Amino acid sequence: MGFYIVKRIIWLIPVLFVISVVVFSIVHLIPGDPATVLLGTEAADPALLKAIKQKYGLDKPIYVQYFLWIQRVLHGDLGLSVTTGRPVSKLVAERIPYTLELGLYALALALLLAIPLGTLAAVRKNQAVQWLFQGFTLLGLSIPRFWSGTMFILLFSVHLGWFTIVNFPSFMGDPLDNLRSFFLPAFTLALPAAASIARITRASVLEVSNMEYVLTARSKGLDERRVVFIHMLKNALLPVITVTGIYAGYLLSGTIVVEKVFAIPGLGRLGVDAILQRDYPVLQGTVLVVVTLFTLVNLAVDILYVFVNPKIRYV
Amino acid sequence: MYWLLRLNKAVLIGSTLVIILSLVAALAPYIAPYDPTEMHPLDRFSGPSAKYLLGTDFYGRDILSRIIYGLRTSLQISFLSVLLAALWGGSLGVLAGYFPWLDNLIMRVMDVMFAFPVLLLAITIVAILGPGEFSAILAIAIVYVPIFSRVARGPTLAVREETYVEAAQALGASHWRIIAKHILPNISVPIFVQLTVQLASAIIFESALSFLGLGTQPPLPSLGLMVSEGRPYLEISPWSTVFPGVAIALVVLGFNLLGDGLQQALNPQLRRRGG
Repeated sequence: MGFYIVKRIIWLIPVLFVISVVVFSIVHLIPGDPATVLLGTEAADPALLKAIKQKYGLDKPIYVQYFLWIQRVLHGDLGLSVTTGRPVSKLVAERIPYTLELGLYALALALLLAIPLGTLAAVRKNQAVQWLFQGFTLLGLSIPRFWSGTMFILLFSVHLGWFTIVNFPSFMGDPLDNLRSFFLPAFTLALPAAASIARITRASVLEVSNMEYVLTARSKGLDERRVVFIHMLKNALLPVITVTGIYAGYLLSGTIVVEKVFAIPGLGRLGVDAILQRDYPVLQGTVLVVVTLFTLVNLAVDILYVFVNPKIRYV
Repeated sequence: MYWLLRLNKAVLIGSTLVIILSLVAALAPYIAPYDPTEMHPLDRFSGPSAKYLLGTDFYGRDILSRIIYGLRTSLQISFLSVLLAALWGGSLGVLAGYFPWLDNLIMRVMDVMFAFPVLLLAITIVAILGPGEFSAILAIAIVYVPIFSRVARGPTLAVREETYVEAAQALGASHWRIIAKHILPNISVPIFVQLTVQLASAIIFESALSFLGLGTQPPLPSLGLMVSEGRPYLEISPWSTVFPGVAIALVVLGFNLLGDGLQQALNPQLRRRGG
C-alpha cells in the first residue's frame, strides 16, 4: 500500500510537468507575436514591446523561455494582468476561496441528497418510488446547470425572495449568511452529481441486498432499519465513494458555469473573462492553478481510497 | 441482432424524442415560421401568442424559430464533435490495444488528458483558436478522445488473445486485415453505445460553451447563447430564457434515455443488477 502511494505521488511529477508545458504553450499557440499577446494590444509602443521581450526572454530559444517561465512560476510570479495591471498571483489567490467553498458545499449537498435517495429507491420496490427516482435522476442528468441555476434565481430569488444573490459574504464573517447565499449556486452545481451518485448508490445497494449476509441478518430477525443501514449500506458504499471521488475534482472545476450564472467572483469566471478580454497572463495563471488543484484533489482521493477499501491491495 | 428484441421503454421513448427533434432540426428552413435573425422592433418581448407561438426576444426575434435553428446548430456541433472523438479516440484505442509497444505511450498521453478538467480543457482550446463554432467542435472532440480510446482498447485487448485471431495470424493475415475483420466488428457496438451516451453530454457541453460566449457567436441562434442573451430580461420576459432551456433538456433527455436503454439491453451485467 505504501508503495502504491509513493508510486502515485511520483507519477504526479510527469503530470505536473506536462501540464506546465501545455499552460506555457497557450501564449505561444495563440496566433500572433507572444509579446503582443502578453501586452494585449496589437499596436503597442515598439519600445515597450522590446522591453517585454527582454523581460520575458522572448528573444531566446523556446526551451530557454520555458525554463525562465517555470522559474518565475515556482517563485509565485504569474505575470501581470493585461487589463488591470495587477499581479496574476494576487488575482488568483483572491478567487480561490469562492471556488473551493462552492465545490465543497456542492459535494456535501450532492451526498446528502444522493445517498438517502439511492438507498430508498433500492429498498422500496413500489412503482411510485421507482418512477420518481428515475424522473429525478434523468432530469438531473439532462438539465444544463446554466439553465437550472437561472430558473432557480427566477423562482426563489425574483418571485419568492427566499435568497438574495447579490453579494457573497465571507464564511469567517458570518457563516450562516454565507451558507445561505451560497446555497442556490451549490445546489445547482450539485444536482447532476447527485443524480449520478444516487444511481450508483441504488445499483450498489441492490447488488448487496442479494448477498447471503443480508439474508442471514434478516433471518436472525433483525430490525429492517438495522439491516439496511448497518448491513447493506455500509457494504454498498464502496462504489459510491469511487464515484464521489471522481466528482470531487469535477465539482471543483465545474464551477465555471455556475459562477457565471450567479455572478460569483471565483476562479472559473476569472478564466472565462480572461478569454473574452484576451487577458492571456490571467488565463494562463488561472488554468495552471485550477489544473494543479484538480490534480491534487484527484491524488488525495486516490490515496484516501486505498485506506477506505481494504479489499484492494495495490502492488 | 437479437438484442433488438430486448429494446425497452426507455429506448422507445428516447428514440422517439431524438427522431422528432432531429427531424425538426433537419427541416428547420421549412418549418420555422420566421427567419431566426429577423427583427420585429414593434413586437419586442411579446409573450406566447398565435403570431409568435413562444413569444419574442429583446430584438423582437421569434423565439420558436430561433429554438428550431438553435437546435440545428447544437445537434450539428455535438454530432460532429462526438463523431470526430469516436474516430480519433477509437483508432488510438485500437492501436493501443493491438500493438503492445504503443499501448503504454498512448494510454499515458490519455492519462495526462484526463488530468485536465474537461470544461477547462475545452475553454483553453477555444481560447487558443478563438471563440466560434469550429473551435467548439474541435474542443469538444479533443475532450472526448480519451473516453473513446478506453472504450475501444478494452475489447481490442480481449479479442487479440482469441484463438481465431491467432489462427488468422497463422494463415498470414496482415495486421490491418485482422483489425478490419476481427477487431472492428467487436468494438463497433460498445463504441456506438458510447456515442449515444456521450452525445447527451456533448449537447450540454456545446450549450455551456455558447452560454459562456465561447461557442456560436451572435446573431446566429444557439440554445445556450439564447439562455444567456435572455438572462438580463428575466423579470420582464422570462420566455426567451425558459424555452431554449426546455429544448436543451428535451433533446438531452432523449439521448440519455436512448443511451441508458441501449446500455441496459447490451450489457447483461447491468440488467441483472437492475441498474
